[in-house]
Amino acid sequence: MMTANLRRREAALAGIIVLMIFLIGLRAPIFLTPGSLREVLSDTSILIILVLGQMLVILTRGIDLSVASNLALTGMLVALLSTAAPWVPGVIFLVLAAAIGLALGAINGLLVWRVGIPPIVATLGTLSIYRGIIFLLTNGEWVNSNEMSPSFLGFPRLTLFGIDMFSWLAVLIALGVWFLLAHTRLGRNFYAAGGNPRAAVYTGIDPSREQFRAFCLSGMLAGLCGYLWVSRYAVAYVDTAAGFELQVIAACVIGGVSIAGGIGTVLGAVLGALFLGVVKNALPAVGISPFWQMGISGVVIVVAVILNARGERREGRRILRPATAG
Amino acid sequence: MQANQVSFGSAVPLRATIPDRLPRAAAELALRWEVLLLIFLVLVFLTNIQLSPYFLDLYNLSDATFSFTEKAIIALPMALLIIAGDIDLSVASIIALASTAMGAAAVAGAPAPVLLLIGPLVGMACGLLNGWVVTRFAVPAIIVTIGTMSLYRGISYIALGDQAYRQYPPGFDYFGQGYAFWIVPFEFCVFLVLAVVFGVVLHKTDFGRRIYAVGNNPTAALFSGIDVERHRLILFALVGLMSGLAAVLLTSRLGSTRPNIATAWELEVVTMVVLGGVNINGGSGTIPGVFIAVFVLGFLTFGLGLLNVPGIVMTVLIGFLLILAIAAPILIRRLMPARHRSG
Amino acid sequence: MMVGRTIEQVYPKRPVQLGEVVLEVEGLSHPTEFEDISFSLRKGEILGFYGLVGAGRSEVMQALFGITKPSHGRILLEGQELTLISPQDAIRAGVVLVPEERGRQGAVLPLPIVQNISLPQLDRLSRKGFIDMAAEFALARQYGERLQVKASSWSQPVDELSGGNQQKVVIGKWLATRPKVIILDEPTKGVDVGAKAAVHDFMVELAEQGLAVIMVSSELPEVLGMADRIVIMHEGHVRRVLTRDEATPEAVVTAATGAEPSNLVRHRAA
Repeated sequence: MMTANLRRREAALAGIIVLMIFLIGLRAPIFLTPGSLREVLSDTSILIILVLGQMLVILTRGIDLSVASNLALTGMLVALLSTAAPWVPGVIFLVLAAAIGLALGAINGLLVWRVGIPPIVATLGTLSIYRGIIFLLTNGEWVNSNEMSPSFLGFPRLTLFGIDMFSWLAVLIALGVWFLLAHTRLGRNFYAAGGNPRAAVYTGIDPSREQFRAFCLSGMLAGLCGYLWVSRYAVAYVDTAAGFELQVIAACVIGGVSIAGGIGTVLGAVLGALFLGVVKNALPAVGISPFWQMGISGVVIVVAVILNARGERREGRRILRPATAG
Repeated sequence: MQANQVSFGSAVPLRATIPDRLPRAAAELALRWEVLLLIFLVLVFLTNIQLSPYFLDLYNLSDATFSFTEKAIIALPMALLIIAGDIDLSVASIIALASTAMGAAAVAGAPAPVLLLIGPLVGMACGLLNGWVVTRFAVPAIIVTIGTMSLYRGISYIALGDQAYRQYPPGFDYFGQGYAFWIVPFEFCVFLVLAVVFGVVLHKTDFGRRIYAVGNNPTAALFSGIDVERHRLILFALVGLMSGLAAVLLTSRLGSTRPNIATAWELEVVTMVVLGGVNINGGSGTIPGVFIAVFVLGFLTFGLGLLNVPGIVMTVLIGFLLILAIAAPILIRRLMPARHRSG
Repeated sequence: MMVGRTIEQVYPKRPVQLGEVVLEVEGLSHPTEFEDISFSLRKGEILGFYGLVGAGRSEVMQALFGITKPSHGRILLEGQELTLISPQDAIRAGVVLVPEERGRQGAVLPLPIVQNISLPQLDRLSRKGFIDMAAEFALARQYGERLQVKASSWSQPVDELSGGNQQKVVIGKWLATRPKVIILDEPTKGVDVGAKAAVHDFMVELAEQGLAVIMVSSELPEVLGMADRIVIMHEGHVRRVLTRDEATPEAVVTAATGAEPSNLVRHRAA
């Protein structure tokens, strides 16, 4: 929920992002053109969508380490479909991918809710299992761009007002998640379940069940991104998006989503993703080798986590009245 | 006026003396995690023997230990760290960084004994950084170590890019490739010694006892006079130190350093610990359990390797094993009524 | 269990020969929790701390135990000034705290009785780091029997005991450290009448043996019945200190609700 603290944080983050863009623009003016900025948004769109999904899980005191594997498996499945049935329109792939992702996310959710496995362990396990299934399906072979149907590849590249589907989807989903969290009972339940699970129980909310729902949504968005990723990069293989879950979690943390649960905003999450996206795109523009990206991400995560913690720190009990002067 | 019947320090004897321990039924002992794991290990062993004639070859078995010994060395302090309520996902990246540091030193002409010091020291420094951030800022360890996971390996990438260090001094290859007695690898001996040390520390010393207290209830531990932060910091440093040691062994075994060595090792280490019966939320677990789990995983992967199962499929099976290892006790406890406590 | 005891609440307080002053607190203050806390404590004395919930009493006690750091003030134990950075300092000096929240602060519930009792003094029970398990059990037996803890074995996990027995384990654990000052924060909260009486009896016995006892309580009858003197706090300040004779229910409650000006030096004009 919005507190003055968080608003300040988002403003600061937005400011830093704008500052970064300008600094990069000084070094490489090309970066500041609308076309280039649009490209950055499009490039970051997948991360934004994944971050929104992860945010829901983290709000409920969970964590989903399997998002990248979910993405990869779903992406491979729809890619295989497109080779087998090239007449299927692009939108269907989107819906199908979301459905598959939802199922994969539901498995995580059930492991956590019904079986009682801690989210970190459950998703650590499915992280390997989902990716391994890709291998079992394809025996390690890739699906290349020439095997993918034109509709498969074309749909996300459609533009509306000069902005492509990737970006539009990111915007729409961000609005959708914002609406979910701010105006629906489900959204409120997420905050309650994560903020104070024990109290939530007394109001009739089952924290584990809310985690299940969050995992379903996260899985759905991850699946959707599976299609987007595979279509964007026009290839599907076992190691698609390997390690990307770390970027997703990093963006959440940078965006002020608290690992302890119950705290986080859509704006913060999106800004966190944009931050990482700008950094990633800035490196080549400024001439820093991509090998620096991992290290920079790491430093940023640690710093963000520390800043998060200081902002969240609850003060000790205030017993003395402020009016009482020493 | 008679106040109350109870008085203390007087000559009123208790009706019956309370024993130190209650005798435990054999059935209860048999259902302990370590015993079940041991049975599973035997099953794995027997199945492997059935499936492949090469399994019982002593040389093969000895060679098999190489692949899991290095991870197992990290699993030992990781078990203590998880029992204390924390976790460190950056161990694989610490290996990469320590290895890179050793490689750079080797190129600069450092001899093997110096490298033997550099690896663990760099590892310990990484561990101390992890621990310092976690305790000083009261941040969850999982997130901090996800960050340092990128940071440490990132530094490796910055230093090496897509190159590799291949120049290692003579004698350095002994650590990872040498044999101590006949066919027993040096690495394996190191692991055995460390397993005994960690087992004794956790189960017999005051330090180990305090770890259990911290993991079960850090607030009560603090109120009992335990320096919770110091203990956690020490454990993080220990995990880093052992990761650095593992880096020495691994680098020595491979003879080269790349930024992507030990990829995904943190998953396997955590799996070893969890499979060993350590509760991921902290507070319980034993070294004997982890010790057996190490062999279960080790021989499972070795056996699968003999059957030419590809590495990624093995990862799938390990993923399943991890989930099963956690799910099983929960489901069993649901089917059985109350009594589950074991000292 | 409430078997075989009279419900009549008669407190077992016996007059005790008071010794010299063992603890002096002067002007103890914390930025947000309490201010200008001053009192003294003598050997053999039971000092009651009364106040409404939220008055700041537990916070003062936690500062005396080294959990929180005061911003001003002095603590003198037997004339020596104490700088407490952590509970270890307090324990070493001989000041111990039986905390208010039994399960969260007092005991590590999943661990056995014997391990809870030995927890603060593992150093003393270990030789070169190795715990002397026999000595540990001996300690548990000694203090467990002295407090008449009812359990199936000393290895029984504390969370399987009743509230009263859990409290006895916590008290036993601290007594085993042979303190000079023992602070009991709401020692009979959530404890049945029988165990309550046992704790009261025990407190008096401790006082008779020369220990200095501070008892934080929100129960008026308890504090009137057990304390030699009563310190009454309200919103982080000490309002009044009453002796046993001066302490009437009206006087105590009036001070606790902050209605009466303090009988100490005033800080500001009304």
